[in-house]
Amino acid sequence: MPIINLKDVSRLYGFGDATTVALEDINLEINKGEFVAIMGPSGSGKSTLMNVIGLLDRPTYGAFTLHGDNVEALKDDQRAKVRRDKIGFVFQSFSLLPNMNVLENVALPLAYQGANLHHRILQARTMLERVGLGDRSYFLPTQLSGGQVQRVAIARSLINQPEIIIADEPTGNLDSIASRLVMELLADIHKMGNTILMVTHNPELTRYATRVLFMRDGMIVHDEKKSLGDISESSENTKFFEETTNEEHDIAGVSAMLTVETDQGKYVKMNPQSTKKSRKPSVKRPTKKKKYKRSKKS
Amino acid sequence: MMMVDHMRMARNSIRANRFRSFLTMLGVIIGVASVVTVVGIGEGIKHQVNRQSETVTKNIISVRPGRIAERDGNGVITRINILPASIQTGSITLNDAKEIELIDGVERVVPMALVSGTVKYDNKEYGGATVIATKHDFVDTVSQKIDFGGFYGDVDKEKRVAVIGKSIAEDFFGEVVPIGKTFTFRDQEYIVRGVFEQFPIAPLTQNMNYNSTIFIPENVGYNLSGSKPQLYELLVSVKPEYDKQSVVRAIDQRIKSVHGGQEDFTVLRSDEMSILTSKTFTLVSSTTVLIAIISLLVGGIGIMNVMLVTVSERAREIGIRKAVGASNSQIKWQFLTESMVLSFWGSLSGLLVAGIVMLLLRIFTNLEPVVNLSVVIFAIIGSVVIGTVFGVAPARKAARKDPIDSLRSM
Ligand SMILES: Nc1ncnc2c1ncn2[C@@H]1O[C@H](COP(=O)(O)OP(=O)(O)O)[C@@H](O)[C@H]1O
Ligand SMILES: [Mg+2]
Repeated sequence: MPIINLKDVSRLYGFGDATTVALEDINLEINKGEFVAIMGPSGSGKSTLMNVIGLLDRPTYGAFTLHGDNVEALKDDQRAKVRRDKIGFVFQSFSLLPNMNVLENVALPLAYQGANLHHRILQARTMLERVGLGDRSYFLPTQLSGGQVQRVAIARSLINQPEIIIADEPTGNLDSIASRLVMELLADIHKMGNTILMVTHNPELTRYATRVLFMRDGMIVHDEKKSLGDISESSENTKFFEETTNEEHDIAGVSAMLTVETDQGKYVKMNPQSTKKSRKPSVKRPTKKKKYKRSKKS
Repeated sequence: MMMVDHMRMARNSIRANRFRSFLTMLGVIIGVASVVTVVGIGEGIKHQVNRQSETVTKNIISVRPGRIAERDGNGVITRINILPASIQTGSITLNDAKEIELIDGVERVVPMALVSGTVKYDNKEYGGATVIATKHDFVDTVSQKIDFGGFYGDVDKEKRVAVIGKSIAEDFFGEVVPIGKTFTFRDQEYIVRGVFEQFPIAPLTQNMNYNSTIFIPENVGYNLSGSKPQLYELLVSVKPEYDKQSVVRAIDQRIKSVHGGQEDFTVLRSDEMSILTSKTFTLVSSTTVLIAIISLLVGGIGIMNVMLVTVSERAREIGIRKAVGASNSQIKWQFLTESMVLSFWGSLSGLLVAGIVMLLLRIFTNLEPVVNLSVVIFAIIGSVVIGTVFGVAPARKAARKDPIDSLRSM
């Protein structure tokens, strides 16, 4: 049985003319032990997908099962419990609480579990040792480098022994050396049998993944299983990163397309403002207009 | 998650944003400080008045010029003019004193007369002294000890001798024992005979401050006042076996008839002075409680406002906490605890401010404010309750924040 199973999952933001379709009819099964890299242009719905899977967000439509349990209708507190016990998050930036030292940050999920202080500190120390930052326990996040912050975030995501680790562009703000350290760490964790979902813009990093998903306009446009160590061939294919433009956009004055050249490769990025505009269902998908009418459910 | 954790997090957050935390607490600090200080001053005055009436003027009836108080048919005081503009003289005379001496139960009558003029010592003028002419048995009537030397006796009636209060010794003569020193008053020399022990004083009452008084024999003083001595008070002591209240009534009637039915004087028992002062300050205290509640409410609103703003500023923090598994109620308790801790520390800071203010008042004024334990406890508990009540809205706002919005707001 797949650990994650999404059936026709859609996520809409806003309503009426301002409706944004962040996810559209996503069908996805992820098995235990997979390392899934998710790629796609900015605004394609990667973060939304991560948030839905991580139970931070609710699908507007569709069914979502974790371990075969339906979770799309869970109440806030039940969702909090699932996040607390089964999921570890690593965000792109500002993932640590600035007022707490590194040790307290790492121990935070255990505090919400109600574990006693002694146990928390012991566990947090172990995790920090594991990410190679045992000697930074009493530092404040501001006293760490970007790479160290991310490793602390990983330590925190691991502390509750989660089944799924969700990392949304964990290396997005890091240079290549720090990036590598973080990726080695994730690869390590993967080897121990964890399921990892990671959003990245860097094709290089698909090397660590066993599967690569490409998203565009809220849909998964390509799903590829691959063997560890190889770079996904499709990830070099720039067509996956190009925004679709058409007359509509030009009329709307959308010229925010940017080709961004970074040390992580070349890809096309789009101003989210204009992306949103381009996603008006009434403009883009007149046939589906009815479905996206404001519904009581949302 | 346990309360200790919330406390620890609250402490972290308060420490990390000291200035903001200070602003949040400001209302509570000011409220608590003012309430505790005002009550402290009131209590202090009560104590001072009580001490005065229990020692110096114990068992004394005071007859004063002017109408300071009104009584009902039972002799209970209904109204009092607690803060007269100045000590009055004029409507009572030595003849009144003689009349009172004839009343059954009266032990002795000591007339107190103000003598105008400034005193000089070492060619320096001193404006801080009041010169009072009184009889030699004043000292027995007020049962006050003499620190150095002695009081003048009946035989000294016509001699230019003086007994002085402690402040006069220290401020005017600049020494503790100026016995035998001479000073000039109205071009004549006086010799210091004795120095009184410190009189307990009570501010904001009509009682004369004897610590800055120079006492001279009655006849010496009367001679300086021309034909009519400026009597401001007659001290009447009552024989122990007599009921003071009936003596008061007798004096009242006698003087009234002597004055041709005019009620231009007041007869007061010494304990009435303190009861009245207490009553007045009880009134002040209940007004203060009202002010206290209002200022605490204002403080609570301050906490609520700053916390509401804080919740928006801390969206990211809330998002992260929810992502790692904080439930809505855990977030709610965290923010609620923070309000509670802030108001608690606010009340402690307010107490500290009050303590400093009261200390300064003790040093630089003749007020002797005291710390009232029940007010302190009320201030702390009241603040925490207010902090909790006004912390609910921000805490709920924080708890309800959508984690997605919180995480996106960067
Ligand atoms: N809370 C939200 N409210 C409105 N629109 C949103 C919200 N979250 C995401 N979106 C929109 O949904 C689309 C997908 O966003 P996102 O999942 O963040 O993309 P990605 O992570 O791939 O860059 C974007 O057009 C974005 O503007
Ligand atoms: Mg994103």
